Amino acid sequence: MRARPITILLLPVLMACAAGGCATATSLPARSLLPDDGSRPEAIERAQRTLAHVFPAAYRSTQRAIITARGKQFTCDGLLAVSPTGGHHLALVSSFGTVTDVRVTPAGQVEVLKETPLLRADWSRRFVARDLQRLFIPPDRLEPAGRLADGRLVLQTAPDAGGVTAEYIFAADGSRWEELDLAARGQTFYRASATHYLTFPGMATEVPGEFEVNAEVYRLELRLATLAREVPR
Amino acid sequence: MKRMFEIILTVLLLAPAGAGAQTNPPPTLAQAGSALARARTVFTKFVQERHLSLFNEPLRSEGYLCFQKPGRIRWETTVPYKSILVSDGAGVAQFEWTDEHWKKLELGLGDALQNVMSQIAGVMDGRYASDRGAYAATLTNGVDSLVITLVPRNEAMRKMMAAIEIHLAPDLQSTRRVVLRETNGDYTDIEFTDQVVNFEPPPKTFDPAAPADLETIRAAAQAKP
Repeated sequence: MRARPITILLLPVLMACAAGGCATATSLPARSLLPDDGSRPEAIERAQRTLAHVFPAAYRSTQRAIITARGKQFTCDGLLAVSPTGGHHLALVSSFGTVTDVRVTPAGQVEVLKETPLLRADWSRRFVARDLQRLFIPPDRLEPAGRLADGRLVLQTAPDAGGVTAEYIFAADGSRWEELDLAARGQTFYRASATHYLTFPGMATEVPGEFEVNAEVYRLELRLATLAREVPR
Repeated sequence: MKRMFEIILTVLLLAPAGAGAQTNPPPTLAQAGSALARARTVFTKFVQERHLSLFNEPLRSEGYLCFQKPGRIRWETTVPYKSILVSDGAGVAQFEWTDEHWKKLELGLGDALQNVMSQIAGVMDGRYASDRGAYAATLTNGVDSLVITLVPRNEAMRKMMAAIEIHLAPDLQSTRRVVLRETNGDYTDIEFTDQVVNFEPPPKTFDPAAPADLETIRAAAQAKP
C-alpha cells in the first residue's frame, strides 16, 4: 500500500489539455459576417457598454470547471478575486491540491504567482490566463465588425501582437454578450458561449452563469457557483 | 482526488473508535488503527475550506461522505455546486449536476483511480496504521483533541503535500477535523459533523452507473437506531 506520487494522476490529463496547443488546431467553422450598414449606432454603443460592465468592478467568485481533452474529463474549482487595483487573480484547485495561481494585472500583464507540480507555468500562461483574460476582462477597444444573418451584432478588437483578433457577438440590440471567437490568420481556433445569465444575491444585473469554450482540442465548461460583489479598495 | 481519499480513509480509520478508548496515557497508533475494524459504514457531513496563501478568504464547500467496507466510498459535494465522486470498489465514477440533471463524466485515468481505490480498500482492511511504508505517523495531545500527523515518505508526494493532520475528539468517539498541508503554504481544512456509524446504506448508494440520491442515504443514516 505504497503512496504513489499524486502527480502521476493529474499530469496526463493536463498534458493532454496542454498538448492541444501543440497539436494541429482544429479550425472552427467561420461565421458568415454581413457588413455593418451603419443603421444601428445605438445598439453598437450599447454593446460596447454591455461588455465593459458584464461583471462588477470588484468581486469574488467561486467556479466549477469541467475540462475535456481527448474525450476524457477532469474537474477543477476556481477562486477568482477581482479588484481595480489588484487585477484579476485566479487560483485553480483540484482534489490533488492547488493547480495554479495566476494574476492579470490592471495593466494586462500575466503573472504566474504559484507554480505547482501539477501544471507548468508556461501552460498556466498559455491556457489558464488566456481563458481568464478572454472571458472575464473586457478589451479596451471594440470596433463594429458587422452583423450575423440572425441580426446579432459583431464587434471586434484590433489584432494583438500575435495576430489574434477577438470577435464579440451580442444580441441584436447590444444588450447582452453571447459569444466570443478568437481567430488568427483567418482561422477561428477558440469559441466561447456565455450562457445561463443569472443574478447572484446582492446584485442588480445578470451575469453569465456559464461559459462553454471550444479551444483547439480541449473543451471547457465553466460554471460560476458564487459571485459576490465587493467594495473596491 | 487521492488526497481526498486519504482523508476519507483516515477518517474512517479513526472515527469509530469505541467506548473505552479514553485512556491515560493517550492511545497508541496501533490502538487507533485497531478501531478501524469496528466500523462497517460511516455517514458524515463535511465542511471543507481550502486556504490559499495568496487569498484572504478560503474556497469553501460542503457535502456528505459515505463509506462502506471493504472499499465503497462516496464523496458528495452539495454546496456551492453539486458533484458526486463514487466508487463501488471495482470502478470509480463522477457526476456533475448540470442543467437540472446529473451528468456522468467520462473520467480519464480510470486505472489510476481504481488503483487509488484499491489502496483505500487496503486501508479499510486495517493496514493503514500498521503499514508505515507510506507515512511517518506521530501522535500528539492538543488542547482539546488528539492529533495524528502523517508525513508522506514518498519524496514526489511530499513535494505536494507536507502533512496530513487528523484531529480526534479526546474520547476518540469522532474525528473532528482533517487538515491537509501542502508544501506551498496552502492547506485544506475539513471539518466533520453529524457522523453516523454502522448504518445500512440503501441500495445503489455506491452505484457508479446511477447512484442513489443523497436524501435516501441521509434518511437511512438518520433511521439508524
